[in-house]
Amino acid sequence: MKSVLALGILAALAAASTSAQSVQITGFGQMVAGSVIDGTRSPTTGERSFPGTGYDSDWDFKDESLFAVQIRGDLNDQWSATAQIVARGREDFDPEFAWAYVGWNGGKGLSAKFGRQRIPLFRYSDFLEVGYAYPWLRPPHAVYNFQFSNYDGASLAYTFGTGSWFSTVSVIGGKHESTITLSGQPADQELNSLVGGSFETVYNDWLTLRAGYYQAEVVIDAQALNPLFATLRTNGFGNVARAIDFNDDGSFVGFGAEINHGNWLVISEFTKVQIDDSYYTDKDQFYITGGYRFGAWTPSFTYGTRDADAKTEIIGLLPNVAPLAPLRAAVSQVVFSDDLDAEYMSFGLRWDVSTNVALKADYTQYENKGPAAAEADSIAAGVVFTF
Amino acid sequence: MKRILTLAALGLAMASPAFAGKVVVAANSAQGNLDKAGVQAIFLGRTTQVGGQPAVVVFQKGPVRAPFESGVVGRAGAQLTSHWSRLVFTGRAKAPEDLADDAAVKAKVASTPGAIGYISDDAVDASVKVLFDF
Repeated sequence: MKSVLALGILAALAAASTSAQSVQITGFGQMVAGSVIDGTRSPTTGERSFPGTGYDSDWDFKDESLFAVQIRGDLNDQWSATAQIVARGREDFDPEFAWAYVGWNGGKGLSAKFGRQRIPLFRYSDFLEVGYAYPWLRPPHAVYNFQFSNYDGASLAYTFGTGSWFSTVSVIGGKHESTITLSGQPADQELNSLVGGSFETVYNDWLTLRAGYYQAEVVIDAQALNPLFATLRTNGFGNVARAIDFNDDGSFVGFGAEINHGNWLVISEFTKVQIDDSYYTDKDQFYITGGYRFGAWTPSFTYGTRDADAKTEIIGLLPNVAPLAPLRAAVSQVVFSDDLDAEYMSFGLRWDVSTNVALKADYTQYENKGPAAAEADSIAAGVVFTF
Repeated sequence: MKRILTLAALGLAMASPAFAGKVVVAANSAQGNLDKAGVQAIFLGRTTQVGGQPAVVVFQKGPVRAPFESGVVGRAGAQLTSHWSRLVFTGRAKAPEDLADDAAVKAKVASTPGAIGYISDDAVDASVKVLFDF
């Protein structure tokens, strides 16, 4: 399915390339080095780690590095085909279609996309990997912590301006499929019947406000949990297995605000995520960034939090009797693994070397004071570019 | 070092007295006159049509660039690139062109329906129509 779609887009691009000047090639990328310089070591591997990255105590030059090429072909005045191929160091620079869609521009502010595109959950979702488009080295992990970003489907957007306000309403519908990592093991993930919408408005080019709601049926086949589920079911506790696993509705609510006034920069987002009947906790997530532009230099500070209480009622489904103690312990471990009382503090620096090259550096302190307590300090620096 | 010098030179260019220019389209374009907000909307990728055609936005590297970006568009250099990268890599707009000088912009604008660019005052001739003065 994936390759059929990609081939279709490529065929459309090839068709467009027969007429001169209608194909545009652009691109972006970043080369980043990072390391976890201090923090808790895993009791099993003895290594340090940092949330949202693959970093450990050694210096890594691949994990957050990437290179992307975008090809756009105009089919006629209203239709175009676009493919964005991203090679991420994290995936051994294996190229992948991040976007592959046919776009329609109906004029009067109405447009649509059909194919692979980003799920516009966050303010920066659409340009998640375009480092040149934001001040941080990476979007704040307190909010940007999903292991997926795309869906296959359709989106419809209406853009309108009234005086000082310039607004966009968009709705999407589709499906996402991928393999994520859960408890260190691969897990096939599906977001079915994914629907939602967002509203974004810009006032006089300096204030941006945004709100979005999305929902989907979340199905995850977590290999790491299957042995536990099997034990629960053999002992007649299928209801406990169902209360832990991912096979129910998930919802996402997000609000964002951005001020870009004179040399000041303030960005903030708040999100609320939940998945019914799973051990995934209801999460309140937030960050705020403040920065100031000194010519080509932009230092910034970001504070972020993630709050979520373990769903202890799941443990209560098992009778508190001695023979079940080991099973209760195993269930508790899973349930408390997603309890979060986490804080992030980041110092970032961006230096615009030229109009399409910037150098960036980041120092982040992370601490989770929840039952799965952990601390980690990471530093990373790199060069980002567009062409 | 060379870059620092270039940046310094750019700074000087911005500080120097206004360098006058014109926003232009093909002489036969259906696009009517624009005010500053209208020019901003096009050069920030918000309006995607010019004279009823899909917009082809043309920037240029000549000396008229600095006064146009900082005086009319309101965003310059890295901030402008950052703004456009958000539009281009999300499919909201076609990447703008970045041509060498007045002559290249005039040739492009005169021969391309929907193209809009800016040139210095003394480069204006009958091949283009002036929509805005700066």
